[in-house]
Amino acid sequence: MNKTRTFATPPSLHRGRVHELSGEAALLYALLSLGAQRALLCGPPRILGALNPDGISRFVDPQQLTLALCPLAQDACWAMETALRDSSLPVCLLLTYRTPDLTAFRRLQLAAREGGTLGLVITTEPAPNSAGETRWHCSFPPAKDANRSANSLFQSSTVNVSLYKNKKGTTGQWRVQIDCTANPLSVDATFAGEPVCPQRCAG
Amino acid sequence: MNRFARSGVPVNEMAFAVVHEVRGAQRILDLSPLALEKGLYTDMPLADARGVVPDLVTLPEDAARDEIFLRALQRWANSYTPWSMRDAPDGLALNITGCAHLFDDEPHMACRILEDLSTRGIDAFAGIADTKAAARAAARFGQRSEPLSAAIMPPGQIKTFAEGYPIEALNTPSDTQFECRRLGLCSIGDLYPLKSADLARRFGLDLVRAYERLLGLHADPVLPEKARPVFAVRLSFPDPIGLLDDIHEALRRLISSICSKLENEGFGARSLRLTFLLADKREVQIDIGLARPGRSAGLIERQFALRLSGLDVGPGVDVMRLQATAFEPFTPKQRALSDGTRNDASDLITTLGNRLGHDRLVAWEPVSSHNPFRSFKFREALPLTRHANWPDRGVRPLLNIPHEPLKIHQAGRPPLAFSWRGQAYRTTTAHGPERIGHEWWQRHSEGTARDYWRVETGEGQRLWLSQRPQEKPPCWSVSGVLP
Repeated sequence: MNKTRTFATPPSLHRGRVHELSGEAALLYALLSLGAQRALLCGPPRILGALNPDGISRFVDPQQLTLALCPLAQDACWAMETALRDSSLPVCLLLTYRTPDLTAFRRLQLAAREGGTLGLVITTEPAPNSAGETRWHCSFPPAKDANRSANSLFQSSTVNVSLYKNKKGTTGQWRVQIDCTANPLSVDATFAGEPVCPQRCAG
Repeated sequence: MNRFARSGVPVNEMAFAVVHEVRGAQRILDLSPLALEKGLYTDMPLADARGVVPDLVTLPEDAARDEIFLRALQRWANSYTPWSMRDAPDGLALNITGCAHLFDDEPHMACRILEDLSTRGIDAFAGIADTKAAARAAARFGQRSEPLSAAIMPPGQIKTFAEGYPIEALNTPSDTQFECRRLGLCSIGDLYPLKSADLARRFGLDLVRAYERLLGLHADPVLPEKARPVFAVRLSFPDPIGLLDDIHEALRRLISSICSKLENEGFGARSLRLTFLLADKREVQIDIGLARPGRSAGLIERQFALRLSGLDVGPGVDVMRLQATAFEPFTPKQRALSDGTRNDASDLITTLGNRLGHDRLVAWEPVSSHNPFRSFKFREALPLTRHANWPDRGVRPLLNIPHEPLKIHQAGRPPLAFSWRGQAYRTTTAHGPERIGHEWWQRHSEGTARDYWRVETGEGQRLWLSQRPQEKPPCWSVSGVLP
């Protein structure tokens, strides 16, 4: 009989690999995994230009982020690959509408392995197949908690993190509570069962 | 004209003119002796000149090359005096105080300079006087005894000598000159009996200043313009080269030579241009930029290597020239404690900038503004230093959305049910309003104050809704996505 294994915290994002995150809370989860490390954000100006550093500053210092505005998707992939291989910035984020195709993603993996850096691909539309080391779907859980006062509600966030593909290790779903009033940021995770695939990847 | 003659145009054998464009019309800037003989004059419309001399040969002016030529002449003038400056567009001012006796005396010095210029194919006129403006006037309008001699005003006699010079010798704008001539003030001597207050009232302060400069009443020194160093190296090949390995090797030699030049002068390059002169007389250029002043041969070579792969050199390269087109004083910085670790991202940013454009690599900088859309700005990605903590502005959205209107299904304040971007939402919790006014003191600021609400929806998304306070019926829009 199979025993269900539970993990108190989601597995960490391994360095030297590229991981894929999707869902409306993907950027928030990626920022949480940055810590105090410097990072490069590559992506189209339409996405990067909409980011608000005042909102980001509650999770990480916006001054540790460098932005590379790439109007062309292949330029963004090239910038990400160059940065991963260069290893002078420990984390590189690629913000994109679509997951890069298998060849492009594989190139990113090789570059990350060569540089020993962490790559995160944050995509709006996850493709059915991807060469990511792990694939995550991050969403905000439906609101049901009406007891707390409205002001304190917005001081904290809850994210449902679903790890639905992992090349080496477990999959699962976790509920991550982030309390922004605490300094440093308080992040608390609880296991929440089986992972949920985004609809496009379900098949 | 001399520059064209030096570059091989036979200007003395034909009616030749350099033309430039003034308000959409071609006008003559400079003329060859033969063209002058045929009755043409400067500032004449080209169409009229063609009517007078149908076989007139013309070339357009090239102001940038003229300036480079003048700059080179100024560097050359340093062999006579260390105090020299350019008097744009076509003059040089030398302060020869204490230098004339090295060439016997002033006339001999002037003669020597003019002879030296003449052997270089440059026709020049010289004037020597107490002040810069007087020397300029003497050079352009003075009487000289022999062809290669200067018009010299003896010390303290500017007034006597300048009396007969035309009003144009004052170097004032052409409309002031025209106005003076219209009122009968044709020579500088005509200005002597007039009071400077009257002149200032009638013609403005420019004329009075120019007049005072001429007479030495107003300071007008020769500012010793230290010749700006030129960092350029070239490599000519006995036979055209075409193999990529050969080009790489040549480039390596050029880079090591330019880097040692930069190091000797204490400069670092910000941008470099590699020019290939091809065997079929074509020119191919590759420009690269560096994110911060640098003179590391390896870095520069890597940047060029990325661009060389797609190069088409056709029949082969005759000459390669490498020039630092922008350079700054260089302050060396220690990058890491040991060679093995690299923690400086400036090389990466240089590499990315050379493909994406250096203006596409940016970082955020806080701006003192309460307007959520204007509370930050983009700056250059380098330096990577953090200045201070990011100001805490409370709960702000992660994504700014420029006030996208939403469709209300169930009214309320904020709406109880609405749809946005094709998705329906139900409001469960709301906090607000937070009224943020527009920046009325900024001239370009427009719009009105808005009330912002933080809304948690039953679907999980948290949105930042806003509405104009006085609007009836209320028009709600989404202004951001909250974490």
